Amino acid sequence: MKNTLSAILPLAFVAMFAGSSQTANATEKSYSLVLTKPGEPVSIDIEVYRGSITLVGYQGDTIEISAKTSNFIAKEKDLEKVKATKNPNNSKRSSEGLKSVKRQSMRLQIEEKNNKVEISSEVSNQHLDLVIKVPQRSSIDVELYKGGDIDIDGISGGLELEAYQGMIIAKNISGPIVAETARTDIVVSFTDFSKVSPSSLTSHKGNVDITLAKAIAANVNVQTYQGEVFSGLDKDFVVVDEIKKHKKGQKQKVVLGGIMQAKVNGGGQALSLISYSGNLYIRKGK
Amino acid sequence: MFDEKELMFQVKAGQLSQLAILFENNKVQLFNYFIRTGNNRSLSEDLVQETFMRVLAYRSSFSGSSTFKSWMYGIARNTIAEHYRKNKNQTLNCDMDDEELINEQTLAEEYETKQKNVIFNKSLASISAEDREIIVLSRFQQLNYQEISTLLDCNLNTLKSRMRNAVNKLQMSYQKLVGENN
Amino acid sequence: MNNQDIIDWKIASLANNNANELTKEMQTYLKGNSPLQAELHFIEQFWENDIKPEITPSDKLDVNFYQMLSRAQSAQYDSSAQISVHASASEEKQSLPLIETVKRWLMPTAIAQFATLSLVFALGFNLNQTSNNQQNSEQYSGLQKEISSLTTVLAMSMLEKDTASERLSGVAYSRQTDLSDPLLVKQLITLLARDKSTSVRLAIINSLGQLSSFDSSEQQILTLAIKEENLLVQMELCRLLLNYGSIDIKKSLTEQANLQFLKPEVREFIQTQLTVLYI
Repeated sequence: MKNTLSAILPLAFVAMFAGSSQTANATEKSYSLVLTKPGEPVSIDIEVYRGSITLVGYQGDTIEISAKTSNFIAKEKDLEKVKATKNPNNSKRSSEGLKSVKRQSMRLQIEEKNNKVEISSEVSNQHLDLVIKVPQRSSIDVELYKGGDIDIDGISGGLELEAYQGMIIAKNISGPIVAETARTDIVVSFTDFSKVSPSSLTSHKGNVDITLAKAIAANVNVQTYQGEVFSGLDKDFVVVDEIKKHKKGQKQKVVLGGIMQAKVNGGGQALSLISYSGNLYIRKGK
Repeated sequence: MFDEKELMFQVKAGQLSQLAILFENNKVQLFNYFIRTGNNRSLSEDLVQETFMRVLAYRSSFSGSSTFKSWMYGIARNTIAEHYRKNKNQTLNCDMDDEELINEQTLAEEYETKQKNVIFNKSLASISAEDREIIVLSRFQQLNYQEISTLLDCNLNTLKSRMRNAVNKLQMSYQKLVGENN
Repeated sequence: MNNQDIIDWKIASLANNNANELTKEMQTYLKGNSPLQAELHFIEQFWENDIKPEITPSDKLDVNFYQMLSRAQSAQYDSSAQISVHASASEEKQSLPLIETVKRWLMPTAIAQFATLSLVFALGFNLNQTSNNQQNSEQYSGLQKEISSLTTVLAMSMLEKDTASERLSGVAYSRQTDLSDPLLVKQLITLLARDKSTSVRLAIINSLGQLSSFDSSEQQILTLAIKEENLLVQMELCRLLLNYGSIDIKKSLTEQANLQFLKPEVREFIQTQLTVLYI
């Protein structure tokens, strides 16, 4: 059974929820958050240790949070095997005749103050899947350490995203976006491109794959040490990196790790794609 | 495509970044509006900048009773008026025939069309500023009658009749120039 | 039915882009009225002809606009911190002259920024008006210095912002100043050491190549490189030293004592570079 709670949070508010709807080892919870200042800019900060985060922009003005936890899989088998006998490593107390109580509480913290929303979950043995509907104009900051992906759809505000284990996928966005992964891919599709400030997508060992809508104007900078660059753009990439002391008599060459740039549709704000060993893909959209 | 009125409301609500979209959407047309109404290139750029500064400063007064374009052109007209009030000694730079304004694309045009265009431009330059304004707003800035009547604060029938007179004068001037040319 | 009705119809259909057909009455009226037909033809030609290709403004227009917008946004973020203090004042609805309205949303703490805005606009405006002669070119270079120091102020302010994108903007502004201000350079290097965003750190490293006195910072950069945990950052720091550093610092970088602290990928990169750069 699912409980849906509507909470109005005018000031700082900390919430801890006991699991109220349970399937095998999962708990689900929904929340509808009303903003202090509807219609005004919104900023949302999310920090989750393990899980996945999906954010969808919509025309409404509330934050709709759906949270589902499950115990981290590696430990699940251990939990199922718990016997009502003494654990030889911990001989002091007897658990004979007692049932093991599975930890199914969801620990999720939500705070809102003057349209600044903070959502965090820092417990390491639970996997938290968050699906959140947010006003389209929201600015977002997400950090996800382990587990799945960060998935963004239809948000026109600024995005700052870090995923250390999963992918970062963003579509129907305009940025500015600064995103970083370690080994996984960053896949972004721009329907528009903000000219207000620069964007940058950095992956150490993953690929960076972007699609730019036809009308977008931008200065696309690419830099990869061991990977390759694939472009579907009409404009060619040219070297912009200058090596000060070695100009005389040398032909222009691509320096390992050097930056190349293409000015799309006359150029605009900077969009940098950087990877050490991943490939960079620049696709032209509709 | 996006709705300019909606974007301006967002700017009004504090999302200043949305002004960038309105700027990109209108900057070339607005720049050409200043050029066609008799200003040189660099002044026209400054006037565009000044207009958008005022759009930002006056954003709380945008009510949505007219379109964004119509409201913006109102501010643009005030901006020019104020500029000339402050710089009374500067003469109107009516340089529509200025070589500088012709870009590479005209070089590829047929001679005949080029001739016709030159005469069109000259006839536009020769009619009065008030008549020219109505034609520029409609033909080049593509405001519809409703928008222009709000902007110039006159009713639709008056507008129609002013438009008709302006076009008539344009045609007379054109015929005179064509006659002189032959 | 008269000529005016037909002309009105024609202009309206072109101006308002509606495709209303001529009524039967109008068609009959028009037939055989060749002067009127000629007039309609003229109007159509004028409207449909590509009379003059649209002229594109220069890049300067974009630069000026986005600088203004950026400053307005910075001022807005600063002022929001003071909103609760001034809550009662802002609730009153008054009609104010332009300068007061602008000052209000910029708030007292940002008056310097507003002054910057006006000064930059005035400077920009004046720059366009100057003609070419000796006196004006001196003024021009003086104004250029002013603009450079204003850009420095803007860069330093953006580098302190909360979002990575704004800090990237700050780095971009820094590049426009040629890094002539030592305080700005110090701020960039501090941020390079501790910014949480790899993108920002990489952008800073790219900008440091512009340093005219690179020697004075190179030891600091070497120290950062050796301690660095982040692969891309360490790689770029080494590349910076190899491209712009003195012979001494390059020797230092390639000494075993320091090489051992570098990641294997970085060591491999340095090896490749050494053969190319003939150290």
